[in-house]
Amino acid sequence: MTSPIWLIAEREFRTYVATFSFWAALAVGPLAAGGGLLLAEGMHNAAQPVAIVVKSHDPILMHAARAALKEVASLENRQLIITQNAGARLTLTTRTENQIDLIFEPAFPLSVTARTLVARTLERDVARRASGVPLPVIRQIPSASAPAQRSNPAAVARILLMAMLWLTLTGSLGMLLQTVARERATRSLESLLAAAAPWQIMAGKLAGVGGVSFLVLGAWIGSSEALAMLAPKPNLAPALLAELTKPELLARAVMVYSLAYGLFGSATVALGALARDSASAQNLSRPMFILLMAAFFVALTIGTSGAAASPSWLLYVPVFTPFLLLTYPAGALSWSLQLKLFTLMLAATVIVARFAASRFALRESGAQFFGANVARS
Amino acid sequence: MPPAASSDLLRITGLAKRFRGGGGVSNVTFSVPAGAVTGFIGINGAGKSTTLRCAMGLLRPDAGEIQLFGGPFSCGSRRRIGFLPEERGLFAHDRARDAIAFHGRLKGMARRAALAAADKLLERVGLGARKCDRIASLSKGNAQRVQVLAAMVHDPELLLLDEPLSGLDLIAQSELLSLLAEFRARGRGILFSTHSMSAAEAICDRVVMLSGGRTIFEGAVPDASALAPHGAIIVTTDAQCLGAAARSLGGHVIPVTGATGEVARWRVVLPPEITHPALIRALSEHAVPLLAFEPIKPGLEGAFWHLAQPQAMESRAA
Repeated sequence: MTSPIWLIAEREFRTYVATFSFWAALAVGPLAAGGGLLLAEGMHNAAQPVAIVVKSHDPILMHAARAALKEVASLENRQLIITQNAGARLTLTTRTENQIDLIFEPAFPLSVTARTLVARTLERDVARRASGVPLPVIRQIPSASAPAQRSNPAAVARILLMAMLWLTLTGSLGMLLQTVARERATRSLESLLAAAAPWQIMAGKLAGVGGVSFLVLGAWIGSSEALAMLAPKPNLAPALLAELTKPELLARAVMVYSLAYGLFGSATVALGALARDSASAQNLSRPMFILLMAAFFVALTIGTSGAAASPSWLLYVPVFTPFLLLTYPAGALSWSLQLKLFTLMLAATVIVARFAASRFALRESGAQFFGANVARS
Repeated sequence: MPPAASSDLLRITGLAKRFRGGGGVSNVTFSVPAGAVTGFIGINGAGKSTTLRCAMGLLRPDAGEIQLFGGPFSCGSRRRIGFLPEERGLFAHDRARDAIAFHGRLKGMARRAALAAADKLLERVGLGARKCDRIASLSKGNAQRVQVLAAMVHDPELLLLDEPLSGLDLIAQSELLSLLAEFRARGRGILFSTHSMSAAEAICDRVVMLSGGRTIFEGAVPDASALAPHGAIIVTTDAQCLGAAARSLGGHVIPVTGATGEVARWRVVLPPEITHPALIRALSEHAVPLLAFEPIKPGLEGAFWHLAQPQAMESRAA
C-alpha cells in the first residue's frame, strides 16, 4: 500500500511534468549555458591578435617599446602582433635628451591606463640603461588581510548556489501557491480530505512540487557543468566546477535547499490556505516574495563586499538564514554554529508547517483541524 | 428517537454546527443501517452538506455525537467510507480511469487492483470506451459519474453521497440508482442527499428529512408517505372566507411562506373522504377569490412539505 503522501506527490509531479511549460523551463538552463558559452567564445574571438606598428628612429628605444607593449597588453588580455606597416601606430619621437614623446593613434588597442603604463615601463628601461646598475626586483605578495578578489572561484560558486536557491524557491513557491489556492477556491480539496489527513496532503504537495523544482535545478546544473567541460578555452569554469563539486559545499547546499524549501513551502501553503482565490493568494504572498528578494540582495551584498568574513546577526533571522548560510565561506561559520542554524530553520519549518496544516482544512473548521484529527485518530 | 441498532454504520445524535455567517444545523439525529439506502432530504440550506461534512470529519461539530462503525471518527474509519462531496474535485488533466484509481489507492488499494476496479465500474456505467479520456474532455454529467465511481471504487462499507444525481440526465440517473441498488444488495449502507423525491421513492428504504437545521422525520419510506396530508395549496386574498370554506368541510388551513401584500398562500388540509371537487364547490359557495389551486401531491413530497411547514414558519419567525 502506497502512502497518501507519495500518491499525492506523484500526482502533483505528473501534473506539472505533463505540461509544455515544464519542458520549456527545463530547456532554459542548457540554452542559457550554451548562450553563455557562445558569448564566452565571442569574447575569446574578440581577444584575437591585433596588428600594430611601432615607429622610432632609435632601434634600442623601439625594441624597449615593443617589449613594454607586449608586457602591458598581456595585463589587458590582449595579444599584439607588431608589423612593419599594417595596424594602429605608435610613434616614439626623441625631442630632447630628457624628453621622448609617445604618440598613440586614437585607434591603438590599449586603454588609457595601459598607455600610461607603457610610458612608465619605458622610463624604467631607459633609466636602467642610463645608470648601468641592475634595478632591484620588487615582488608583490598577497596580504592575508586583503579582501577576497571578486573573481575568486570559491566566492563565485557560493553566490551562484545562493542565486540558484533564490531562483528555485521563487519558481516552486509560485507553483505551490497556485495549486493550493486553486483547490481551496473550488473546494475540490474535500475529495482529498475525505481520504487523507491535511498534513499528508500538504506534505504530498510539497514533495510533488519540490520534485519538479529540484528536477529542473538538477538539469540546469548538470547541463551547465557538462557544457562548461566542453568549453574550448575555459578560464573560470574549471575552478568553478572544482568548487561546486566539493562534498562539503554540496552537502551544505542540499541541506540548506531542503530546509529553505520546507520553510518557505509551508509558509506558501499557509498563505494559499488563508486566501479565498488565486488573486487574494497572490496579494497575500507578495510580502513573502519581497522578503525573499531582500534576503537575496542582502546575501549578495555580503558575498561580494568581502564582509562575509564575519557572521552577521541576520544569520539568526530564518528568512535570511538559508541565503547567508550559502554565502559565507565554510571557514567563517563553525560546525556548531551551522548546526544551530539548521536546527533554527527546522524549528521554524515545523512551526509554520503546523500552522499551514491547520489552515489547510475547510475555512469553516477554524484552526483546529490538524490537532483535532490527530487526537481523534 | 429510535434506539441505536448494532448494524448502524453511522449514527448521529444531537449534532449542532453553527457558522459565523449564519446557517448550519442545530439538532440532527439519525442513523444509517447496513444493507439499506437512506435518503437525506431537505431544501437548500437545510444542513445536509454540513451534516455530511461533520460525519466525514471535515468539520468539527459544536455539539452532538457522531459514531462511525460503532466508534468515534478515525483515520481507519475514513478508509471504510466512500464520500462524494458537494463540490466536485477531479483533476482536469487526469484520465477517467486514473482519477478513479487514484482515489482507490488513497483508500489503500494496490495500483493494479484499483485500475481493474476502475475499468470495471466504467464499463458498468457505459463509459468503458472513454476510460482513457481526460476529465476536461468529458461532459458535466459524465464527469459527475466518474466522481461518483471514484467514491465507490474501493468498495466501501458506507457510501456518503452529497447530491449524486445533480447534473445527470434521466438515463444516467437510472444507471446510478441501479448501481446503488447493487451496492445495497452486497450489504453496504448508503446515505445520499437529494432534492429528487421521485428518486428517493424509487430506491430508498428509509428517509431522513431535514428542515431548519433539525431532523423532522426518520423512518421507512412508506411511513413517511403515509404522513402526507390530503388537501390543496391555495393562493387567495381573502383568508377569512378560505378558513370558513375549509371548516365547512371539516378541514383547516395553514399559512405557507410567500405572502405578498394581501395575496397569501395557504395549505388546506381536508379529511380523507373529502374530494378536491367538493373543496372547489365549497370555495365557490364562500366566494373565495381564487388566484391559484394546486392539489397536494401524495407520497414523500407531500409528507415533506407537511412536516417541514412548522419548522419553516418557526425559522422565519426566528
